[in-house]
Amino acid sequence: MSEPVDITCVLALTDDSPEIEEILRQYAAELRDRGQSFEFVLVLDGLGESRTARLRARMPAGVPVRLLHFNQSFGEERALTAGYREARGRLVVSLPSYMQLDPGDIHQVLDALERDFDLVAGWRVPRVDPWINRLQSWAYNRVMSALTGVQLHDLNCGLTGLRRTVIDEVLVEGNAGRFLPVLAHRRGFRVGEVRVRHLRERGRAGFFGVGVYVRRLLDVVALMFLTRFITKPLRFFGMAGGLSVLGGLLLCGWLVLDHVYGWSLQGDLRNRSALLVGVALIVMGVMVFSLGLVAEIIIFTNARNMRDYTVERELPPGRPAEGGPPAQDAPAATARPRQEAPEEPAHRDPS
Amino acid sequence: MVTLSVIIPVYNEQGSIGPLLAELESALDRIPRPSEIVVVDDGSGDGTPAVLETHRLNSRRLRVLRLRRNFGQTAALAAGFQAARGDVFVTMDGDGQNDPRDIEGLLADLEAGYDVVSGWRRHRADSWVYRRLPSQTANRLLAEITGVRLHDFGCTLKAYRASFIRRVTLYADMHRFIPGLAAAVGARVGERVVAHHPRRTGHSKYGLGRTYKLLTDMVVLRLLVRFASQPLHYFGLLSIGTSALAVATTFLAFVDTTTVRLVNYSTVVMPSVAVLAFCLAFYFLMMGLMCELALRTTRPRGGAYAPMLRHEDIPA
Repeated sequence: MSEPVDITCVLALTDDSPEIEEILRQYAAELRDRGQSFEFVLVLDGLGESRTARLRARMPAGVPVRLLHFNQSFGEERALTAGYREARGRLVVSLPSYMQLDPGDIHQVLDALERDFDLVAGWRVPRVDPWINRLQSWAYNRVMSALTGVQLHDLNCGLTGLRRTVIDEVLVEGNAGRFLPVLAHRRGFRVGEVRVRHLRERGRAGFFGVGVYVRRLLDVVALMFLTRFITKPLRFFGMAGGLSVLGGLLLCGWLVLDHVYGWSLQGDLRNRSALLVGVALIVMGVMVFSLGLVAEIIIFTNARNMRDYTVERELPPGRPAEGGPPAQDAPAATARPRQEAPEEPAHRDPS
Repeated sequence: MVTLSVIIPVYNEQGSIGPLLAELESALDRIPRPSEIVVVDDGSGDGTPAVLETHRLNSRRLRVLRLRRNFGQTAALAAGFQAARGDVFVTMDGDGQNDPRDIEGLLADLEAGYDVVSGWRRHRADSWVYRRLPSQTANRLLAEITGVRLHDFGCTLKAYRASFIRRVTLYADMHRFIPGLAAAVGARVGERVVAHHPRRTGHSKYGLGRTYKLLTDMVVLRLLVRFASQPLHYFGLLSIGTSALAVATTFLAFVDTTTVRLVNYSTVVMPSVAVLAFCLAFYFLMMGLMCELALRTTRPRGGAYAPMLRHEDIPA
């Protein structure tokens, strides 16, 4: 059942996807041109019996497709994560579920992967959506690349190609989408982007709505926290809590001095509701700080299970040790890829 | 059969690492036990990999690990510890400031029964203002916090018993705190004066801008060293302290202020402080319980804070 293939294309389907037949046909044609084996993995995000049946009927003949079903809807990001995890290909490409991009551009992504990248993100230029949407996503991408240090122009493109090793090392539940390039970059993988042709964009013009903005903002916060402070949470909480305590102390100090020396006219401490603010700031700061301590304890307890570095290669001595047989890692000059987490095989075989 | 592993994390040391390896090899030749050198290349971007490759091909004991990018000294050390095969580990700086001839002395101390022996660069060859003064202050603080009387926590030249160091989890910037963590689990920590040379080439990767990190790390260390297995005791103490403050302010709030004019803020000030202090005390207690929850549900596999045991069998 699990013979390896070269390329796995993953699609997360959250709705009826009227163009799915067309997409599978066109991408399959492009992949056949390459002469490599491939498979499609479609993750159905809780579509229900009748819609699934209709979808199944629309699968084009002669295209290897695996359907994975969620029994209820978990959203596109988690569907994509599941698809990545089940992918069997050496290279894995996520595709948009409608005709967003030119299918011929998949060659660029795959070529870049074969050549010199571990993860390749698509960059839609020129964008076809209205200027207001372009402006918003431009701002989002600028902020994200400034915060993360990963110079990518388009984090929301539906087309992303990656090597299997990226999935094995970086993927955790629910970070398959926008975060994956950033997290892969932090792991030391080579992250690049290729320009792809933007055919059309689903969704309406205008401002994306408050909900989208809130979620994007939370993305930014989460990403900052994840990339900078995950192993040292007190540096983050300590900064926030320390600033709060400092502000509170300054405020209270000024109020007390003002009470004693009567600099301002309403100097009497009994009439100053600002005192409550000051004390509350101090208390809040202490709380935030101690949250950081709790986080440190949790990280310390779990540190054995998380390794925050990756060994790229390990090379044995060039000459055999005197007297003994050659080093057990011979042949000497070839790199031996190091097994990550030996207790958890990278490739799970159900049989 | 390797019994001694020398672990060297390097980052952009193309000028220093070659001479260091040559010296190290001849020093190890004089030590009558099988040994290996594990150099961990922490994502160097200069000529370091090429230099290492040349030495590796001509060496009987040099193994080279390359990390995928620059992950920092702690990660490099952790990778080295993971890969090393000896019974005894010695760690060294890759910049040539440590002297390989000190290894023999460190090994002798391990023979004498220590679990960790730390080098002490008594005569440091660094700038006073930028390196030695901050490091003296930090060392004194660290000695105070951990209760380990060492003079030089930052010296990379250290020797460890492998059985011990494999149990210590290294992450973030923990390498500086290994002696402290070691003492917390009951390891015997010793110290030995070692030589310190000026840098041959290249430049130092440290500077002054680490104070904040070091400070927060010390707070964490104190917490981990003393309370990692009983967090409720830590937060419980905080809670009791805050409760005492709350009770005191409550008392002040309701005391007859006609006689005690000084604390005549009672109508607003003391009640509000008292209420907030009570909240805080309660919050600390809950935090402590939450820590217990987090700790008791994960089973650390031979975690770093289980006390060390020494076995002694008395033959019948």
